[in-house]
Amino acid sequence: MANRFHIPSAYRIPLAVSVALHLILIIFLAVHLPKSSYRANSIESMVKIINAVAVHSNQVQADIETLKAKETARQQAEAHLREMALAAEKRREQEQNRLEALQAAAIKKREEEALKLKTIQDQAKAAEKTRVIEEARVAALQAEQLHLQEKVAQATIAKKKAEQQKAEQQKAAQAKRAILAAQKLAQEKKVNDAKAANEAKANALLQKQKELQQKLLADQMAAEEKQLQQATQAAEQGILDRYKAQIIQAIEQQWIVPEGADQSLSCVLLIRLGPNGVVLSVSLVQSSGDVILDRSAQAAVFKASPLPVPKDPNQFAAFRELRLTVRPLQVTNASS
Amino acid sequence: MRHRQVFFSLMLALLLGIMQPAAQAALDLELTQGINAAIPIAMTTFAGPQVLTTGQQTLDQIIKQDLQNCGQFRVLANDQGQAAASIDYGYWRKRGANDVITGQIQAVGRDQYQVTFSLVSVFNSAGAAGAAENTLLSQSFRVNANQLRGLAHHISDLIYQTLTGVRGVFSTKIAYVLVQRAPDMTSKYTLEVADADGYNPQPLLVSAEPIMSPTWSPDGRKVAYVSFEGHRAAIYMQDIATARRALISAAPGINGAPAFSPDGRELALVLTKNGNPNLYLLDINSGSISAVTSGNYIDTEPAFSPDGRTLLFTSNRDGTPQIFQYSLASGKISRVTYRGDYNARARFLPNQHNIVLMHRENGLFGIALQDLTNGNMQILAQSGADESPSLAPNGKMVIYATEYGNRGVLSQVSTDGRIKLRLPAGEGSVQEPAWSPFLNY
Repeated sequence: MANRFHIPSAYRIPLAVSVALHLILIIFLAVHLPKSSYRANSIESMVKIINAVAVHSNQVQADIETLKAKETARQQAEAHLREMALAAEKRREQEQNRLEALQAAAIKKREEEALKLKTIQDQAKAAEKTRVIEEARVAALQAEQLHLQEKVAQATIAKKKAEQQKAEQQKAAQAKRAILAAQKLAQEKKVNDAKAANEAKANALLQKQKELQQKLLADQMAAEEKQLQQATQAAEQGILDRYKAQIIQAIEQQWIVPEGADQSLSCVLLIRLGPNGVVLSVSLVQSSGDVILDRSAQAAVFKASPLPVPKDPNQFAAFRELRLTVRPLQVTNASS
Repeated sequence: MRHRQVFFSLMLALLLGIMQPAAQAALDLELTQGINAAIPIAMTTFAGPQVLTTGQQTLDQIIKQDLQNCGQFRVLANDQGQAAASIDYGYWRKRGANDVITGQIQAVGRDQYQVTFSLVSVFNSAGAAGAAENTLLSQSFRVNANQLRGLAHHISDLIYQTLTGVRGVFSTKIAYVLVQRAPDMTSKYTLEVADADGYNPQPLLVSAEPIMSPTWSPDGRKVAYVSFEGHRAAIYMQDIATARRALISAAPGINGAPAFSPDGRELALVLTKNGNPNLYLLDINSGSISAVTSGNYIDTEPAFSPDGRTLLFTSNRDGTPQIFQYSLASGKISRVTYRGDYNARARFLPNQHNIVLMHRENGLFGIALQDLTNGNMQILAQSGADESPSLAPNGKMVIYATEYGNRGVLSQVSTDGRIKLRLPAGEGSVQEPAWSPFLNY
């Protein structure tokens, strides 16, 4: 490579940059960019060519005036014609109305006359009718009168007959009554006799009855005594007491005595038992004054259910209702 | 004839009359003995969302715990586990429950709950299971979420009172001293106030020196105690709500064993003005002091009677520590305890017939109940290290300090001796419990 083309390394880059910048400048100066070409096109397309004619203003004014005058004249003529037409129309209508009115009046008069004739005819007819009716009525009345007279005559005859009959009947009745009275007396006598006899019999029976009753009572009392003896025997055998003790024990084991319960207090419970000792109800007959003591006793009875009762229905009968008095006198410690 | 008729009909009537009663009278019975047992009641899970209160327990769990731990009830839980909408009376009767508790909880508003509960008797007088007349108690409450635990205790109180007639103590508090020993052998003493079941402890005073003998004012708003801060004993009275305190007594020597009078105006305390511990009465408002006992004995641990007329105290004037009673009107002193060689820290029950005290027999320290009317003494607990008994305000329960696992813990025993339980222990050693009165605020 020749020496004069050898560029020192320090200058290489600045040189390259300088050359590039110069080239850019030259290009800008050489080339013309078209300016706003799109706008120029649109304006050209919208331009129109107008052919104009010159006119003198005075001439125009005169033409306008003549035209105006012609127009008003024409309008006036038209208006006039219209008026005449309207007037004619009106006269025709009036004529027509008058004719119609006359016709109507004529018709009306004819109708009135016809009506008058009709009423007169009707009246005549009506008069005829009433006359006929009257005649008929008169005839009927006469007939009735005759009829009534006949009736009266018949009635008097009947009355006479009836009176005769009545008199006869009365005679017959009197006779009968006499007979009946006699019969009655006889009967009463019979009845009294019978009554007396019955009374005697009844007394005798009552007497017997009383004697029997006395005997029965005596028997019953004897039986009663026997029963009582048996009952006392049963008690002696300790059945009742035993069950009572068992019941108390069952309730005792369930009665949690409230702490600090006053020993002087007591409550009374009424306990109803069903068969097999099931507790049906526990009602507080008398409160101890301490609600918690009352409740503790009630709970104890419920929890002890079913209570031990006799199986025998007769013996169980005594246990249906228990009256339990509760007093917190002693407290033992629970076994649990 | 007629006379005989009348006579015999009368005879008949008489006999029939006599026959009637024998067949239909109610049988008379008398019940005079019962058992001393816990009342069985049934607790069903409350319907609604399982809301956990502080301590991670649901409302019904807290109520069940309260009622079970007081010793009066035996709580049967619902085996079925589901909350029943209606009560199955037959099921509960078979299981032997007397009453059933049901309830429900509903979330309403923001962080609020509507709680309803019912206490229903399983029996009614006719033996049938109707609902309305069996309901002993039914109430509804609306509370914030942070009040639920307190509400559970209130419901327990209501149930307890309805079933036993005695006011419940589930909403009361206990004060006690917590001692914590650090690894370097220094101790930290904290006076704490917690719920009666031991939950939710709040510190009143933290000190490096011992705190002793906390005692509650009758209105439940203040606690008086002995503090050894500054290396000397002094009595302070501190307000629970504001935590502000006042120095009540700082006489030279011992200031100890404060006890409020029932009207809250006076404080009985122990001072060594005369050289040995004697009882004095301090008027809280005026600060004036009057002497109660004197002499060369040790008189300590005074306690007022509920009517405010007498003071119980411990004294060794007869040789060994015994309980004596001082009449404020007459000044007469009489001895109360004769059994055992060590009787101390006596407190009256609300009925004033009984006292509960610390008692040593055969070398074992325990808690005893003495009947003042006949002198009978019943041992309630005797572990050998029981001390500092304090009574619940309804007189049914005693809380005391005892040892368990080399630590001081609190225990409770019922005054009928039936139930004993230990409170949950936190860290450290707990001692000197004091049960608050009924809190009406």
